[in-house]
Amino acid sequence: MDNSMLKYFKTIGEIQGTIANATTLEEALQGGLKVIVESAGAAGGAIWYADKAGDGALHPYFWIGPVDLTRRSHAPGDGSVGRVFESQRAERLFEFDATQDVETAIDFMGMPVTSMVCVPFSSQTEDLGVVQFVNRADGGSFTDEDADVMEIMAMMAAIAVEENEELAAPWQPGEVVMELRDITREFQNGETVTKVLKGVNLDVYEGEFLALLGESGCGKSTLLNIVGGMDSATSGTFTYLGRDLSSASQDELTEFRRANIGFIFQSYNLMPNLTAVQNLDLIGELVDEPMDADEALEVVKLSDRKKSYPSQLSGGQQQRVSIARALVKNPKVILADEPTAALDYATSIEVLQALEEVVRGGTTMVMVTHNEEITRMADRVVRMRDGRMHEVTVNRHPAHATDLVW
Amino acid sequence: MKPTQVKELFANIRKTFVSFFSILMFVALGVGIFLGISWAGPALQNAADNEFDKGSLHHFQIQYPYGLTDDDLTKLAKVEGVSDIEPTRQSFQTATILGVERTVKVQTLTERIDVPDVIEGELPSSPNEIALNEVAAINVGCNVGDTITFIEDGNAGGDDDPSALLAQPADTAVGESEGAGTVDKDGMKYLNGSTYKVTALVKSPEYVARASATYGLSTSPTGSIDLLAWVPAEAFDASAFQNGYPVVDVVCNSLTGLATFSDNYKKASSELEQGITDVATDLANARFEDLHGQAGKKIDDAQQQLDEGKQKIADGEQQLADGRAELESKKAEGEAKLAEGYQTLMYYEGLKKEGEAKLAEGRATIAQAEGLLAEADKAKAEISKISSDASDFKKDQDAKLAEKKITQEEYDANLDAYGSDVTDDLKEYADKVGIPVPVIDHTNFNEALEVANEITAHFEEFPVTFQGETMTLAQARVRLAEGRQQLADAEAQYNEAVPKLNAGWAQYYAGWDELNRLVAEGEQKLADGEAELAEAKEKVAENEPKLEKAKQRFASMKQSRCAVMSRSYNTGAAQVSMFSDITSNLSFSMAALFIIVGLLVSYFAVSRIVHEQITQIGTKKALGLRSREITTSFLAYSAIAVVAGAIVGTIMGILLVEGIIGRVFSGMFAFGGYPPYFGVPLFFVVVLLELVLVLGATYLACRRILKEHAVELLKGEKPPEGKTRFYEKWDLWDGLPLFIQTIVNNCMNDRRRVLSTIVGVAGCTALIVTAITLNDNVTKSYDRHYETVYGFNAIAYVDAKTDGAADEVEKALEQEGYTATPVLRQRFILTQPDGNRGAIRVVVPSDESKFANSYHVNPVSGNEFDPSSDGVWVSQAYADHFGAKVGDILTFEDADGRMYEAPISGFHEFWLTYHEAVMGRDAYKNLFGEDAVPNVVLVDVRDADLQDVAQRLESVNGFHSLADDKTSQHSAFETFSKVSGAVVLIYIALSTLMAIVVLLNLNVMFIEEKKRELIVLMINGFSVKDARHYISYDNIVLTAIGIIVGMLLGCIMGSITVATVEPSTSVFLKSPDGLAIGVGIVGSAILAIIMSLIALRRVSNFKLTDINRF
Repeated sequence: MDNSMLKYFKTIGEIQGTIANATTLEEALQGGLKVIVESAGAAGGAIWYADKAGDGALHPYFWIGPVDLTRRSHAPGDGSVGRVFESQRAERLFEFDATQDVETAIDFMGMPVTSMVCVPFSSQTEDLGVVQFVNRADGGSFTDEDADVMEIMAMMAAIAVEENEELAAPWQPGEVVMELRDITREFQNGETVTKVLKGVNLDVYEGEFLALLGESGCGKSTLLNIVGGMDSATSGTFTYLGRDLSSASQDELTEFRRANIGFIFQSYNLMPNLTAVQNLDLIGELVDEPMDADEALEVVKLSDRKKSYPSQLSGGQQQRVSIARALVKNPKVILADEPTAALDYATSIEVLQALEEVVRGGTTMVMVTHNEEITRMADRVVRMRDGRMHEVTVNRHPAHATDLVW
Repeated sequence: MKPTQVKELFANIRKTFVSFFSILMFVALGVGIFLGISWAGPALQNAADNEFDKGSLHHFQIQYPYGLTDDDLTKLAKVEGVSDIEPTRQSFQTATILGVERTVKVQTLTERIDVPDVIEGELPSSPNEIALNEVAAINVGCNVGDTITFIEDGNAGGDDDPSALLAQPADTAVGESEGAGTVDKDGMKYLNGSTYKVTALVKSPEYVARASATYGLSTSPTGSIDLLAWVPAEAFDASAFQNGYPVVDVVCNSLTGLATFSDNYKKASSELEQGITDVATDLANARFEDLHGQAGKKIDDAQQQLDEGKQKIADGEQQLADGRAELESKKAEGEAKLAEGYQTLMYYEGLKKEGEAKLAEGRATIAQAEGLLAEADKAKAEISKISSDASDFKKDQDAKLAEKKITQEEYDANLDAYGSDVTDDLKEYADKVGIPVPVIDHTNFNEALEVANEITAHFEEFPVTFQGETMTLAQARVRLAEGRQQLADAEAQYNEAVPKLNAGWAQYYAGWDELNRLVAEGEQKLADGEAELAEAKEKVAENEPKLEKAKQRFASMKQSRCAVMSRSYNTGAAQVSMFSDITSNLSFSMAALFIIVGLLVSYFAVSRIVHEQITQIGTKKALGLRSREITTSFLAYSAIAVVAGAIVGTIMGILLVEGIIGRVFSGMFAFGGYPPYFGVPLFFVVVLLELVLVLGATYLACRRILKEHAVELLKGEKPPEGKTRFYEKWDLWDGLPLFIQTIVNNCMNDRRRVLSTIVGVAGCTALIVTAITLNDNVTKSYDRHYETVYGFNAIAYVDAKTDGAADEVEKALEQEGYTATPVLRQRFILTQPDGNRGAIRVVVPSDESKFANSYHVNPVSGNEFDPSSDGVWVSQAYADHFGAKVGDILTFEDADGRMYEAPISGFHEFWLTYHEAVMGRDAYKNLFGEDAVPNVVLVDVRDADLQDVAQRLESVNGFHSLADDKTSQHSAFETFSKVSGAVVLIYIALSTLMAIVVLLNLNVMFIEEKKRELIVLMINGFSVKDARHYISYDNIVLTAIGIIVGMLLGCIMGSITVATVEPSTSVFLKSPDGLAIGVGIVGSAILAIIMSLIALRRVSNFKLTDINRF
């Protein structure tokens, strides 16, 4: 048995194991796609799901790669994905010419497609959608061998669907609040240039809870800094509600933060010499129509400690005050950077409950975390790796804070 | 420490260089200021010593008003320890230089001791050459080659300083008397000449201070000395000094190698002084006995001479009366004789006139007769002529006829006609003698000739009438001859008589002349006699009171103190010593502040480093390093900073502080150089002290942290503990704006920063306030004096010997509309409670009611001024510096060394730089035994031009000069102002340095500490401006508190500093100074704002992404 066959069977086994261990269909599909993408050496991959109960178009269900396909959809017949869904025949575009197939080329917005394989994703009873693999990670082109494996794996994934319940309806995002395109961020240290973000394309939608997940140094905090107006991208564009802030001045960014953004820090960063309510008042005074500080404290259930100084509060309470401080400005977006990292489990749950309350109130939240469990609360989870978005998951059923266990 | 720990130590220094530099700088500032100012005094002393050594300044100066003789000098030279002596004489002269009268102190040009150093020209080599003090010469406008002529009002006299005041007093010098044995002398007699050529400009080790006030006091009415001069010894008239030397300079080899201001010198000098004093006193006593005996003898001689003179006057008066009577008698006799002669002469004058009349009559008669005869002769000639003409006519006619030029008829006719005329002519004469004359015609024409001849022949018979008598011409001729003879006789007689008469007259006038000459001669003799008598009387009148005065003085002639003055009595040395003390005192007060602030800076800097490295320290502890080893590292850190700071500070102290003060001193003293001073012992003491203090602060800063367990330290810096304070429970608190609550809580929770900021700002403020308080209060003391004490600004000097001079000057000034008050103003030596001798001025009002207008005796303790009291009111400095109390005895010493004691009745407000005592006239008389004759008039000329006023007073009898007292006193304050000005400069420079090092550092540290909070706020939407404001509120409040604290501290330090610079003669204002406070507030605020603004620039450079680092 040659190596390719060995790899083939090994991958099959992994897919079976992933699916078998998955608790939900979504989990099974996500796990399966990951195995396939990694085994095939693809740079990106996506499962497109046909919303037959809705608009009939194909919507991204789960994808891997440095792109945000959330709002992308294909009508049957449009582009490679549409065509494969309609024909139920795989397309092997090993040497893809974007100029020849624009519709297909923009599937992975911001990610130039040079090699692509699309295979139908169908159960025995119905056509579910399309599985799309884009570019080889090593820069080369897919081969027939790769395509064969992809097709088989897609079939195996489809089997998993049959064995589980029906897929949930596609997630309907709100209006785009923030839009990041090809965002890069480089840091110069002497003669060494470190590229922390290498081209991020991401949209943040109104009212969503977006979790940024990744290992240390993957660029998630840098990304949060940019969307928070604390830092500017080296290249690319960042717009907020359609306003381009890519080259905004410091004063403009200050105004942006003042009026629109609430921040929650890992280490709370409360003013140590101010009481809880004073901390809120200090920030509340920056905007014309702030939330009442007492009300904000009520949201985080700390009304009774409003005259306490930070040092008189526990870590969880301090972080809740921090959340209230973020809330008090009535911001459009709250950015939270590892808000529970310094807290124990029970306290973290308290804080997450407070955050859940905030999101429930309709505030958009972007949270950086390295805690996988917390991402279950998010509407979307963006996994970052090496300065790029690695994969994006849309939680069809976000968990409650109290459901989280780690 | 192990090698790696040393490496880590230096790495730590690099990393925390700002903190390291702060400690270093403050150590440098403290050390630099302390050493710089401390060494400024020794540097000054060294410079002075160099000057003293160069010119061989005397180690002792013996001053004895009666002078020591050559024999005395020989004995003095043998005193143990004395290596060399050199006597000098001195005299005060007045010279008009560039139109201004200048008082010149002329001294003997010495050869070995107190040798003037030639700056320009050559030292005088002949008695009519003179050398001048360079500084004074430039001031008065004299130079080499000029000629100085002394006017005759010089005197040998004393100085204002203790030594000079003992110089030969004019009124006790036993000099040559002019018959009455008087002790007074005319100044010019002290010098043999009056005109001197300036050959050199010099500087003398005896006068190193530049201010003319240090030259001493002269005996001129103004008391000042404008110019110092040296002449060869032979220029002085030794006899005027009774062959004595009022001043003797002494050098002792054992003192030569010692520094003048050192304790060793003082000790050695003190030991020698006693021996010299003993011998000098014995010699002075002997000298006094000798002079006293001479004076007594001279007074006796003078009395005898006076008595003899009186007798001679009486004799002379009698002789004069006799002479006058004899003269009158002889004059009358002569006049009588002359009158008789006159009558005789007048008789002969009558005869003479009579003779002259007769002669005139005779001469007229003869003239008349001669006239008649002349007429007769004329007639005779005419007859001849008629005849001759007729003859000629006949011949002419005949010739014509013969030549037939005429016809006969014509011939006849012509003859007829002519004949007719001749007939008429002849007939006039022929009738007188009775000769008939025919009618003449051509027929008898020749007859006519005959008739004519006949008439001529009878001519002498012609009748003439002479004096009524008719006679012939011949008779008349006889009579004429007789008359002529008689006239000739009369004339001869007359001519003989007239000379005799003239001779008589001549004799008469000669008689008068002789009489007048004799009378005049007699009168002259009488006048001469009278003049001689008057002169004699005048001399008697003049000398009699002199003799009486001399007798009185002789009766009161007492021994004067023979003063042996060590170098400390030299005005230059005294000034050097005083300013050394002042700078020394300043060094402590100034350095204290820097040491305190430096300690705080060290404490906070190390504390911050420790807190910053808390995790690192925890790690080290966890890895097994002992607390002691970690502490050693921090101590080594501080020690390096201290040592480096000490070195930097020492260099700064020498170059900057010593340099600045040295420049000030250079303006005050005429030194050749001002070499910097470095004192090893003090350097090590200061470095050691700084090390102990800073290492102590370092230990305190890290002690608490190092006590913690490693596990606690590894948790990192704990946030400040907030706690609810009592005031937060007040309703008022909730009503306060958030920023106020924030400021209060920030301050309450960060006491370290609060304290350090307040100390920093307070330090800056205190420095500025202190410096300006010092400077301004010194100046204000002067102003205050002329506002509250002296109601006058000028002093009119009058000649006290001129009766009523002060009153006349006062009257003249009052007529000009000025407030004027005559007083006696006199200087004495004061024996101070500390045993030293100083000077004091005594003021005695002549009219108490007017005095109050010009001089306000404001008691600060004791009784109100009472002119009838026996006590004296002394300037407040005497109480402040010597602890004197009311009831204590004040001991005066006059120029002759006589001592007087008076009780102190009170201390009065006085701000000038000398002691002054006020007493009533009775008290003065009781104390000194003589009336207080006013010698000056205190006058407030307001803004009037002094020269104009003085010019108008020129005509007032006894007026000498008008001096601008206010301006002249200002020069003394200028000296202090120069020092305090340098201090201000240093203080403000240091204040700025402190602001930079402390405030900037604190601000930067504060901002760095607050960086996290600020970034959080900026992330939340605070603009850079908002963030700056947020952080500035605290600073504004702390700066304000710091300024207030600094203001109070500055006022206290200012007061202390003022007290430290006060010389023992002065008290300066020590009250808080508005200007100082104002400048302190503004200056500190500006510095604080600048430093804050510089530090706040960092806020704009904050990277918000750094929030991820915290």
